[in-house]
Amino acid sequence: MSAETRLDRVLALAAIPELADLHPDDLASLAEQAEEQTVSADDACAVRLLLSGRVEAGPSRTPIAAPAMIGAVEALAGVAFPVRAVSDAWVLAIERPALLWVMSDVFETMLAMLRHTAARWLLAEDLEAEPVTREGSAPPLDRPVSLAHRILLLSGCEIFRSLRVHGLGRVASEMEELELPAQSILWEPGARASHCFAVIDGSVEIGAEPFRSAPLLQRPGAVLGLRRVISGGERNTRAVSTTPVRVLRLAGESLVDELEDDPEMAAAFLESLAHQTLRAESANPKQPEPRP
Amino acid sequence: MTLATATLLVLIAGHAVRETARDALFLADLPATRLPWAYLAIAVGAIAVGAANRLLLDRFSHLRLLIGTLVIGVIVDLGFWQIASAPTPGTLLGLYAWTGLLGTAVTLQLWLHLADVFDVAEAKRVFPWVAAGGLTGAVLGSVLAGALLEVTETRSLLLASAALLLVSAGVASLLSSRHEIQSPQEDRSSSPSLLELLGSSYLRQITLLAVCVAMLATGIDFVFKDAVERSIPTDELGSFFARFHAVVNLAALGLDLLLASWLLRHLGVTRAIAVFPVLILASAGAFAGLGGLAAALLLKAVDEALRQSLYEPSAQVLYQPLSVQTRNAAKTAVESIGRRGGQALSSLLILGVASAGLGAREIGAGLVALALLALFALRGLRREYVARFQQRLRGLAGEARAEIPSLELDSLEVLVSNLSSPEDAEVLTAIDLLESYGRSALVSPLLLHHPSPKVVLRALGILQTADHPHLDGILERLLEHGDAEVRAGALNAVAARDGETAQVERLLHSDPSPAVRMTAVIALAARHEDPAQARAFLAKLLDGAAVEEKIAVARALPRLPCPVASESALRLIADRDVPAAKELAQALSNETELDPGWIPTLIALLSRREARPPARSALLSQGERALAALDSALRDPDTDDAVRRHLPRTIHRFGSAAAAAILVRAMPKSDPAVCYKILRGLGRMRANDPDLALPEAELAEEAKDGLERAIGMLHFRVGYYTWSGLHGVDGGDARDLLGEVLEDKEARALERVFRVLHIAEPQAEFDAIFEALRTPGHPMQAEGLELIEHLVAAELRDGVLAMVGPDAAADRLRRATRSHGLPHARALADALPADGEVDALKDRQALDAALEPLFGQMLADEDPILVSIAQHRWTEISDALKPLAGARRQSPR
Repeated sequence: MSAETRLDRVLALAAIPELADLHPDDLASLAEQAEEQTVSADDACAVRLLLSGRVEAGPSRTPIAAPAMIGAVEALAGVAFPVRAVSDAWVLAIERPALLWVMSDVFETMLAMLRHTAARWLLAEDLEAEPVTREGSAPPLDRPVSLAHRILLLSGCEIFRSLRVHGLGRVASEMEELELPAQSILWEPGARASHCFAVIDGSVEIGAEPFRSAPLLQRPGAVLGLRRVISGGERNTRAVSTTPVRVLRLAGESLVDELEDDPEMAAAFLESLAHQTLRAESANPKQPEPRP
Repeated sequence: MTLATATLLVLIAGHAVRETARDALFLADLPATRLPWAYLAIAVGAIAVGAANRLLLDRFSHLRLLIGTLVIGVIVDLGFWQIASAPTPGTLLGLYAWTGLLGTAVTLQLWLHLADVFDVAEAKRVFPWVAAGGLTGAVLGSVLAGALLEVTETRSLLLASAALLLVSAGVASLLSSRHEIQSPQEDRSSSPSLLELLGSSYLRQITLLAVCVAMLATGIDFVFKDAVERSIPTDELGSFFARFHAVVNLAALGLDLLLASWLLRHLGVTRAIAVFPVLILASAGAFAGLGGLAAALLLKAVDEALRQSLYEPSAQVLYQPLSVQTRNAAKTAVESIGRRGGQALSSLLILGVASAGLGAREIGAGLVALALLALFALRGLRREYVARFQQRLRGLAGEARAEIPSLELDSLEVLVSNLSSPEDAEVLTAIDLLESYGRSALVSPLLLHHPSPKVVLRALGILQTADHPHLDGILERLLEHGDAEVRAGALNAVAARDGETAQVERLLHSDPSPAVRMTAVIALAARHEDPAQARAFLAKLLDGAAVEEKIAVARALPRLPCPVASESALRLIADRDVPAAKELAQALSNETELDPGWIPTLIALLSRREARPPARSALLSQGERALAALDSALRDPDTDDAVRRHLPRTIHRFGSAAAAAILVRAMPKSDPAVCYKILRGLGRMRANDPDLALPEAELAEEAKDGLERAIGMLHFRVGYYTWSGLHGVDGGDARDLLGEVLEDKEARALERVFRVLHIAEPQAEFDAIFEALRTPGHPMQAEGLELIEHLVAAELRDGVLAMVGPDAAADRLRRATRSHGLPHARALADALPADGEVDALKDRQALDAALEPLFGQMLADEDPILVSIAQHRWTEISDALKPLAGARRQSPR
């Protein structure tokens, strides 16, 4: 690949909104692993970076115009995502293993994918409470709650379940235990999403204002507010404790730092995030299709 | 393995019987001086057989070819039996050549098949056993030949050899063909030509070695048979050869079983091979000095015994680093050119020596020279052998990280043309790239007219101190821009250029935006000479300032004298809800002559992700002064952890030997997370500069620590599961936290070892080796282990091999503790029953004693995650054991 072509690619990739914050060197790493592709319907698990032209993507053939990143979440979840060109299109494709490889070495690309995936999940479900796999587990009695209990608490949450114990331990070590009275506000609309919470004991209600539907009531084991912390931006919901609660608070920056320190954990976390996103999208078909 | 061994056993038994018949029949009717012609016939015939072999391999697999050759061998043996009743010199020469050719062809085909079936680790384990099968066959064949000669004539041995060939064909047909599903036609296209093969220095060395060994074998055979012909009566030749071969083959078998495999494992391939020419050198020297039958017998015995038991299996391993296609082609080529070419050359030399009237002792002197040449051929072969493995591993790895391409004229045109792109992101990236290339001067002031405020602000950052004739005019217009951020930015630039105070004062009083007014205030304060007043003024300014006002302050702070401004900066950074950190870091990195007093602020900014890249860039531009400050911060125990964890990657960007030394020195005192970052940083430095000087002793110590940590974690895990099994304790939580965390810690400690090894020797590809070893089902795992054997320093080698090997956990612990003296781990490894079953009370007592301190040791570990999980598990276990009356209960401490 000539230097001119590489530079062209770097500049074109910079126009893709999800990648716009990446340093040119990071974009060069992505460009290096990408292959120019003639787009036709197929079921390969690759991320398509549409640099010019128009395509139709997904089973519902959503029209998408350049510049755009297509099928990233699907590729990370290992789900087929057909893409078909409707005009002359300049597309770079990055296969899943190559993408994971770049992300493990260049964390900023991993972070861009994390943000993109979390943002898509929020589009599907904006009442932020991560699915819990172990309902009704008894709250830990120790105060402060031990690291082992924190790990168990986190591993009961779907999104953390696939992480290794060492990684969970690192994340759990960064959490701060808080005891709050009833009616405490964990976050409210307009606040910067800087922390997420794991409920140890008590219950928390989350709702959008004005309430579009009944607010969610979350109990021990629930992890709240994580998606917005990863995607960045401001809250558009309110989270209030309905009883006195004990929670573990995790700063988004600490989580991201831990993910940066452990690329394998970051990859597992991202894959889990991708699966959850697709699950939420299929459960909520009203969510907008991929960005036209 | 069993079938392969059996095939070679029967095949070689047949060959030994045929060889006895051949030698006895030949020397009974013809003088030994005719032997070189027979050798020549074998050499010429072998070239034809080699060519035929290559052709046939395109149609048939090695296994099928082997079976076919064996069947043809049966028919030809029967033919020779028929015509040997009235032998002519031609018949005898033909029988001599046939025996040599058939033996070569079938053993080559069998080894090629085995090389396809086994990887290098299996080969090193299996090949000596297969070779032992061959030696056993040689012993049995010689004994059988001797026994048959007691009851029948020499010619009848050919019937026996035909029968044994038939049996070996039958056994060979049962061999596995797991690697032979590839279409031979596909292989053909990628098979290298002879010229390509000889272009490889590695294969040239192997060929030279093969030539030397073949010449040695031919010369030794000649002096041996010459001495035998002179000393043994004709009618005793058959039984003499049978007895001699039986004894020598028995010795070879003993060597093979007792020594060869051990030598191969402990000396490595090339040193194991070197044992052969060294001993030949000694015995050939003895023959050249003394002459006679005894010296000839000794020489032949050394050659026969060591060549079969040690040299051949080791030489087969030399082909393992090659791809299947290259290996097949190389073996055939080396067989033809090396072995047969050597044989032909040796025959011609013997004929020359004989015609010159020289004797066997002179040939002995020639053998000494050949042995020396063989040793010369081995020089550097180990390095090449390892390099071949590395080459294959490298093919499966690569570099994920890329950098923007170096700037050429075409690329420059692309960048400059992108400054007028309709996509804001492309323009911003083009500005970033021009700045990265040090070509900021090409960022045109025209960009200050760009419709996007983002682009204008970025361009202002680059251009604010540029020496451009129209810039002041453009800035003046920007002070009237519709976007407040742009107006504030322009004002900031005006202040940076020491613009008129009147402009600043006008905006202070007239601009509707608080952010612009705030910028104006700072610009004015910057011209204030009293620091105390400026400090008080700033403090007042920040109290109750809105978010956008704080951002404006952050952008303007570099205008103020450093001590005053940096204090306010730290206050701004502390407020994590205000995205001022990035703006401040960006503003500081835009300064062309930044006051060094800002260094502590820049270091503090490293704790903020969004501010980190510009803060690092600004620190880099401060040079050695910043590096010294970063070193102090890394060593200072009071440095905030949120800052400390980002120091290694900041330091590594300096890329100097001094930076590397800072990182290496900090490793032993750093917590595991920081240590991991240091290792990644050092790895990146090495990748960028393979010649970077690093303190080797400290790195070696770090690798040793990592290995011992990994062994310690394995000890805990094996101990924990053994203890649980002995006490009938189940897994506890749905998730086996303790087992998992111990496995994780072991893996991370091993990763640390390999990272250090890679940093110490980047050309050794330790990163690719580790990737191959830790990825289940990776095709290069065996090669990875082989490389470790050759590349890792002796004090770590056995421990690393044990830890990354495919054995069960308990076996790995046993192996690892043999070379690393961790008393508790070794005590457990010694107490573990070999079969995993605790039968005797003595076993149980030893095991209990070794396990007693286990939980106490885990709870005293340095890792808080492990300690917490171990404590949790101990509580669970204690609760579970409480109801069991009389159960053994021990305090964990």
